[in-house]
Amino acid sequence: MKLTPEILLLKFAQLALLVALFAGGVAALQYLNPNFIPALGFQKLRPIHVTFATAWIIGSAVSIVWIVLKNEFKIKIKDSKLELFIPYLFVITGVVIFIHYLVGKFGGREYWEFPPYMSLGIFATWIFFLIVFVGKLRQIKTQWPVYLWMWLTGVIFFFITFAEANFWIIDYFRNDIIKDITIQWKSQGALVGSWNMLVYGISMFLSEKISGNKKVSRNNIAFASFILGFTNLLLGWAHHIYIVPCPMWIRMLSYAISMTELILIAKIIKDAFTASNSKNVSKHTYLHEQIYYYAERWIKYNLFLAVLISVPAINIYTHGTHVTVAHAMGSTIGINTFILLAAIAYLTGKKPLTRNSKIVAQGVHVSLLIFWLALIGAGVTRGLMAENGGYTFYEISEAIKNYIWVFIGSGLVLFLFLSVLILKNIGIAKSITYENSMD
Amino acid sequence: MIELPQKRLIYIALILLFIPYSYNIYFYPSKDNQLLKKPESINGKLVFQSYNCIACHQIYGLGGYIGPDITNAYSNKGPDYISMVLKNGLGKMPKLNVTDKEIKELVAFLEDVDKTGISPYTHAEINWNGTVKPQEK
Repeated sequence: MKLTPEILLLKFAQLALLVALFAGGVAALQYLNPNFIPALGFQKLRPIHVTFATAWIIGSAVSIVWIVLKNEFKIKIKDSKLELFIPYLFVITGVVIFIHYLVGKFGGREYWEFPPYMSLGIFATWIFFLIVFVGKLRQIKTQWPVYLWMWLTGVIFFFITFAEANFWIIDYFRNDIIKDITIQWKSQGALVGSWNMLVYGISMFLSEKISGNKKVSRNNIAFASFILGFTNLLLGWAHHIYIVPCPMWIRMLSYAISMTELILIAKIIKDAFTASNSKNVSKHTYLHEQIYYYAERWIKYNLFLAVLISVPAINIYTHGTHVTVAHAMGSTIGINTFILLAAIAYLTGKKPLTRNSKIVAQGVHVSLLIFWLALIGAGVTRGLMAENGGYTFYEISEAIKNYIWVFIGSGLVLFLFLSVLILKNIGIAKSITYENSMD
Repeated sequence: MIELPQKRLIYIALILLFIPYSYNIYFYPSKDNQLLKKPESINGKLVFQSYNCIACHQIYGLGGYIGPDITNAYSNKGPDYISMVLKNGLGKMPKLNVTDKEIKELVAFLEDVDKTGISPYTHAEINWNGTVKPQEK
């Protein structure tokens, strides 16, 4: 068995997650005491945490898509030298960005806080992947399951929205304060939507495998869900900027589009009254089933929160508070990371659910739930006080202190459980044997 | 069952819709109070980014939460207070060794940001449909 490019990429992505977790843990301590490690201030740790968490999600999603294309669609899997560029460019770009952060050299844009020239490395990696991905898609002659549409959309729109994220280097955009913020969040919102297309596509693939029912990824409901997600990706991002004084039509259109997610809530409620398709937690045989079960739960929790904070009348109390962080953490850990870890556990050889691995997976879920609720508590308290006016920043910080303690404590427990789940229960990817291997 | 040609049509229609939608966002007419015109404030924005201030602070509620929202710091606290904090640090805000020139540029940038609007809203008026009456400077 040899180390193929997609497994190498997966390995690097898993290491990026460990870096993100470590930076998140230290940043939590810096949050309490800014002089905890003076040379590694919060303005350095936050971008390390965010960039490497993003690298984990995108890198692992890409490698999982790549593995599924090779394994499930029986396409030619002879590796080209071009494919090897992808993991190496990915890791070199990551290391150089890490060094920039350590020496305090920033581009200073939310989420992509590295200098703009580093975007070239990300663009190059993505172009190589786009070529490989389209090349493999063209070999599929059977009717596409919906997850292939989702992956194609995610790959194309990542490229478009990442380009938009760099518009600020042009004076016309940068020197208009409000237009710059508007385009930045148009880009960020859709960028997250793009990687969600990759991850939710993986989720649909897993759901098909766990249920053994191919219809779940081929029927009209699956296609309608995809179109709903795609519409939200394109037009539903402006709930991030309801209070930014950009043209009103942008914000109102986004409000209307965001409310289409009520259809998904209606479906969840309907399913709750009929028999649920998910297996009961106690009946799971494999680790990936247990992790995927939690991912499904987190999709529900976070969807309810997302719809609530997309209503402007509620958003004024939650925007700019820890509720937004709760939503981000619920999405990136509860949904994205759980789905990706379930997929890795499935694709790298099904692992039986042992008592130990069940406790660890439960530990991740429960500590994340406490972490999430503490953030919501802190955010709502802060939002109510800020909206009411008359409180200083210090007074608000004191009022949410207990929530922050719970958030930090549960965050550190989450860090430990997640690290054990990755390193011990799932393991860092080593190699994979394809059913149609030509080795 | 939706057939492949219909699926393609829906997909392409959405992508075609995205083009004029994005164009209208890129090129809507700018308001005068939203433009950076003075060289100090134009540089100030770059200084703001080079120190990664957004990791801890917010503009219009967007950014990190370890420090306060600074959209209206200029009118709420004044240029002298901002300069003092930038020079010496305060509370969780570290001393960043910002030069005097950079402090002037950052203050000029924050003055221009302040003119654009209000964040956070206080005592907001809520409409029947769940929208909020915009608050303006």
